[in-house]
Amino acid sequence: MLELCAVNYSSKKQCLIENICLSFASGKLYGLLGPNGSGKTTLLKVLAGLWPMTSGQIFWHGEELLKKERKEISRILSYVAQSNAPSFDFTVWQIVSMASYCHPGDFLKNKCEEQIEWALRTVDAWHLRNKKITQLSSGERQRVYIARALATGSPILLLDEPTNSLDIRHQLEIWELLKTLKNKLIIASTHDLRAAQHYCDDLVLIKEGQCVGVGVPQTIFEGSLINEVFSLKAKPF
Amino acid sequence: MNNSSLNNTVSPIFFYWILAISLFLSSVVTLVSGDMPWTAVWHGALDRMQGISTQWNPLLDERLPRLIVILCTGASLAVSGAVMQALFNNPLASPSVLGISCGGSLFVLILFVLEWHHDYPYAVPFAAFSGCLFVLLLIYFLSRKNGHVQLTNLILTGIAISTLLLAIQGAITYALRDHWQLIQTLTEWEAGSTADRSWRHVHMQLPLTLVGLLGCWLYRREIDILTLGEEEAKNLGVDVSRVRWRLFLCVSILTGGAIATVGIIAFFGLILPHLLRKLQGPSHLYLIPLCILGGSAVLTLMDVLLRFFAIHSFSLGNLSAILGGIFFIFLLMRTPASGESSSSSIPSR
Repeated sequence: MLELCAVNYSSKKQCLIENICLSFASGKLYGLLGPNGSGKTTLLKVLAGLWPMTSGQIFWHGEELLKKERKEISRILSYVAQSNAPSFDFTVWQIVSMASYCHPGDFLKNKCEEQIEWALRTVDAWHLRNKKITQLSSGERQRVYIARALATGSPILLLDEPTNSLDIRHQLEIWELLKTLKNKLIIASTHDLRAAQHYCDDLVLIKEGQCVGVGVPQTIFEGSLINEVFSLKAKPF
Repeated sequence: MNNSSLNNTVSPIFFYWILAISLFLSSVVTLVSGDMPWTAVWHGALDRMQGISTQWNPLLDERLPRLIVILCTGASLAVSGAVMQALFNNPLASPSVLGISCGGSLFVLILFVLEWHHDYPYAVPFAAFSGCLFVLLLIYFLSRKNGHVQLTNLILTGIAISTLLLAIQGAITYALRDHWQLIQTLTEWEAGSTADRSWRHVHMQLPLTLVGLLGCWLYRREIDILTLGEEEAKNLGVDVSRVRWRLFLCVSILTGGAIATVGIIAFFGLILPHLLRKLQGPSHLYLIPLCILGGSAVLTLMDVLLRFFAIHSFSLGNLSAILGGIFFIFLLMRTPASGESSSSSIPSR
């Protein structure tokens, strides 16, 4: 169980995340919905400990998450950014094998290569393993970074618009994959309302840095809340 | 690591051999070449080592310390360049391009002007190290915005600070233009010269080089990950601020040591890591040893060539600056106009 208690984040005197209190259960896929600039990416980065929250607490199984060592945090959660533009010509294999950094030395000897191969095959990127990351399309790169998050073996995955640059086939494959990762807690921000409705177990609605609704997709899409959040005049579908 | 990951690049063993052979040959030439006959030099050295003689010997008192200083300088500049390129997430960063060498040289210049180098010779590497670290931190904090080191800010900050520091240096040397001896010392030192280097210079530089290189080697995995940017590194478990501070210290120690003993060798720290990374790949597991070997080999070779062709009007620093400048312009011309990211281009971020 991942719990956020009164989490706030401010930058340049502007409150970007305001008093968010949420609970996320293991084994569920959560969709984080909200209009552009609502604070989805900020919330994910604060959750991942990449941006220091102004106040509040985050608990994982009752223990304060961000007070742990950085390597331990990375063993618990992995964050996949919306876009990445690497400057150096690492191969896909080298990029994914960086996932082993947060693990102790014996992991490198025993499980590392198996786990990397599994992760690359899972996201359909095994054939890219010898290619340079700078030569891949943004969609291919996104799959590689998802593979790296899987290779860490962390029980929490935080994905910032994971299907953003993917073609329709790979979008569906990624959603199907996320659905099959039953033992993980996955929080994925998305603008794809249809996919969120179809694949996510629960949805979290964010507007102007505040959590305005949590519930199963059916409840969220039946009411008028979704229209209010996205300022829609009619039902999205 | 899977061997297949290196299929795109040439085996590092090949480069190790090439560089090791070049290093060996150029080192031998450095040690044996000179005006005195080799047999006389060798016998004199043997006599000294057996305690039979106490006479000055060109091999032991001139060529050997000179060679060690060149090896240390080459390795230091190449490795510090590679590490800075990774830390700034930019394949065009290097101590001289960003003006860090200027910081070290200004502090050393002040030391020379105060004439402390006569009474406290070991204050020279300390001053160079302090100057490098000071400017490195200044550039880093001034070019950071929203948690990222922005390339345009980085280059502009580097240019602004190095221009400012050069102006201060120029003002100091202009004010002291009547002090002939001091001006001559400063000119020789600023040109990056390895002439008349003694064991005192080795004592100054060798410990700094060993500490700096060891530090960089110990953090090779973290350096790899830091090339992806700070957030990515943190996400993968790197304690970014702690590692970054330690690597800043290592870079300052290496650059400071080189500046203190040899002077400014511009662009060397940019070209070599860049070329080796192109040839062999970006993994610092291979790149750091290759930079140590390559930096030592290339600088020794340049020194041998300068002496072989008896080009007395050129110093190592001059030659490196001219070759490096041409290479830098070539790299900038190859940079895509769109700001598209690649290993040889300026990253778009």
